[in-house]
Order: sequence, then structure tokens, then C-alpha cells
Amino acid sequence: MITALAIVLLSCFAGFFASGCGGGETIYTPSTPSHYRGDNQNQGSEITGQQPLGSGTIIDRTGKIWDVAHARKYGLEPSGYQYGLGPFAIRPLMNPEMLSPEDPGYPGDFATFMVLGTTLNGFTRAYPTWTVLSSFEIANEKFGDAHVAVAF
Amino acid sequence: MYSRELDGKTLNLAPSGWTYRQIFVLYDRETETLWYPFPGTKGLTGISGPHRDRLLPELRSQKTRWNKWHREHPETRFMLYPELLRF
Repeated sequence: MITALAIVLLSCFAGFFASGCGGGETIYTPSTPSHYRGDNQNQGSEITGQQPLGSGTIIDRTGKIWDVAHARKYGLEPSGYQYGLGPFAIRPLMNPEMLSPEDPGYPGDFATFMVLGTTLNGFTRAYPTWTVLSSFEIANEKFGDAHVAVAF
Repeated sequence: MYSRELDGKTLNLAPSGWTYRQIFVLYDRETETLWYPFPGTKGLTGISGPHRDRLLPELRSQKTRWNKWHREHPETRFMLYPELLRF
């Protein structure tokens, strides 16, 4: 599960980006990167300052605009989105390196930390949850021909 | 753990930077579809974007302790801590 512990991390990241946390607010950051301006097909006008962006549209701290109108179908109202750190604030892992039992650094049997384990396409792997959950949130992986996202 | 294949194409998933009800909203970098893990659904649901209303199915996995997992799967490989997290 991608759960509440992640919020702690987000709170830490938030301090680096802007003052205050966006509990249910749409936030405009003055330093909007120009390449994000107007990249939403549903936005016909220039964004000027902090303002509601209209029905079903939210803007994150990097100035990127997200059309979330369709999500209302699932009960997710635009006012309920939080933090809005931007899509590059937390980078995912890409095909992380794996250790085999004979490799240095492979954990011993005494270790009791939590892992997410799986066997798929003949590959058996374990992912330490604190690593993925606390720092990257997700890992993009391959198990043979199968492309998998490791998340909780 | 979820499949990230849709219509024969591979998606790269990442945190969107948003949360909703204290759960991360993910997005794929190819189409910027937002994906959300609704409790009770067996996968990630596309909530907006080109893949809205689609599902990336959940795959079988087990959350457990390392010593238990290793006892049951002595051949298992283990994700190396990324460089930035090594002590």
C-alpha cells in the first residue's frame, strides 16, 4: 500500500519547495517553468497568480496543470488533492540492481526488516519496503518479459 | 505490485507529487495518465488522462519479513540499496 508513512516523507519534501502545505488548495507558484505554461489542452488562457483554475483543474507547485475532472466519477474532487510537489520531486527507481545470495551485502537470515516478495516468470525477488516506500515510492522493474511496478 | 503494460505498451510509473486521502497518486510518464489504487480494486485505476477508466492489474506479492521470505525462498534475489541510501 502506498500509505500514510509516505505523507511523512512528503512533508519533508514540501519544506524544500514552498511555504505551507496545500491541504485541499490549488496553489500557484510564481516561478512557474515556462514550458509548463499552457500545456493543458483545456486551458485556453494564461494563468496569472493564485486562483482557482476552474472546474476539474489543479496546478502543482511547479506550475504544472493537471486536468482531474474525470476523477470526479470516482469521488475524487479537485479540492481533495494535496501537496502537489510536482512530477519530478520524487524520482522512481528504474530497474534497480539486485543481489544474489552469493553477493557481498546480501542480508543474512537474522535480518527481520519487511520486504515485498514475489515470484514472477521464474524470477524470485524481494524489495525492502523501507527503501522503496520511504525514498522512491515506486520501482519500475522487469521480470523477464513482464514489466512491473513495485509499490505498496 | 502492479503490471505496467497496457495495450502492448510499457508504461513508466512515478509519483505525480499529489496525494489524495493520504495515498499517492501515480502517473505514467508516457501519457501522463493519473493512476490511483482504490481500496478494494485489484489494481491501479486510471482516473484521468488518455488511459482513464483502465486498470493496471495487481500482481501477486507478499509483504513479509526478510528472514521468513528468505527461509521459504533461499534463491531469492534482493534489491540492492540505491547508492544514495547506502551507509
